[in-house]
Amino acid sequence: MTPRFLSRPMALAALVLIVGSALVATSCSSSGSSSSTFKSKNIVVSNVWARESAGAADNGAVYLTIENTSGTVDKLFSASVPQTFAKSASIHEMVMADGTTATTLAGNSSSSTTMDSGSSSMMSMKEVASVTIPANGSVTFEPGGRHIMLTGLAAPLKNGQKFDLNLGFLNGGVIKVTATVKAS
Amino acid sequence: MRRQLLVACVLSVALVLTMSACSSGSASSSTSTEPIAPRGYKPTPVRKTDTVSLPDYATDPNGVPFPFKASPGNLLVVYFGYLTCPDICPLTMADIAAGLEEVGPAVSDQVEVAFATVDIERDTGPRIVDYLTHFFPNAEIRALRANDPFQLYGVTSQFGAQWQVDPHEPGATTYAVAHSGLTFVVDDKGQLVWEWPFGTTGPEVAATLNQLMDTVYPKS
Repeated sequence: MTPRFLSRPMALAALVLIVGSALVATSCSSSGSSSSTFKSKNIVVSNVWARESAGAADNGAVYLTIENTSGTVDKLFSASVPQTFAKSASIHEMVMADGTTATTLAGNSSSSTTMDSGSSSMMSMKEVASVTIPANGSVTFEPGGRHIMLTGLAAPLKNGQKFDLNLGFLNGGVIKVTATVKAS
Repeated sequence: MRRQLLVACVLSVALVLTMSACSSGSASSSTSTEPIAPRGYKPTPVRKTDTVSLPDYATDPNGVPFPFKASPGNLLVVYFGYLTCPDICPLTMADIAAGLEEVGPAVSDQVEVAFATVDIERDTGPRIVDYLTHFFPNAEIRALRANDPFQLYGVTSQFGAQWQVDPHEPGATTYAVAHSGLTFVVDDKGQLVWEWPFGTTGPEVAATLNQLMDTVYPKS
């Protein structure tokens, strides 16, 4: 392995240097995403959060990112919370009155679109039986698109609060994740 | 000689690796410096909104008629939503609140916020007050709830907003509500001066409010 023209101690020193700096590289980049992740054999769930309740509102919405690390399509088909926490949890997506599904309407309005057409079509929520997580792909539940809807919260969600929910996947099984409540 | 060259090479690779480790943060932060433009549009022809009113529970716990018109020199932001709305309504309220935060008190002190429920069965006046106070602790708020669907329809048709409550048994607590996601801005003459589409962000709200203050109330 050791190149002929490099003495053994020298090669070792070089190796230590490279490995050392690679370690620095990885430790630095991982510090950016501090939110916890939840894993099963093929599913990684991250950035699980809910908005703080406004006043006495007894419904809530949980947002998250689901990554499928396998080469096989998976499906999220259930979400549940303890009955003592909320009456029900269900998978929702936003639909427009014309029937189109908005996976994310809030999305980035990249360029300077100063004039939007005056579309006043209505938005509504629809419960869905499952959400497909593509093979080696990911799906993000975010405001204005998909969410896990909580109904009948026992108490309003408070900033900084954490709560558990179970997510059921066709292949990934049941994963327990913890959501963090954010101010807005 | 050759060995020294190699060592130098290895050292520089190591150095590059170390340097690249923490550069990602600063690289991304320098890209979003372009100014944010106002979003939405000015509805034409001019539509009057002070010809219609709804009971306001923020001013009086028993509800007093509030014609849709801002106080002199102010702008009135109007949204038609419902309190059990888990996603769209809180997102819109949070974006407007972020916009008011961004423009600062010189402008935000002249902005009133009205929330009119389209779910008059489940939403009560005091609960709308709580809801608005959560998002706008410092703003002048209007908590609006129609006495019946006909009164509500008279108002929303004047604005050009739509809503629909799904048929349900009397007393049911879970039923679907649909509504247009527009947010409206009214001036002190009771005229509709702007509409924001759903998804307008806090910075876009701020840019629009700053522009409206200049154009609706030009300093002579």
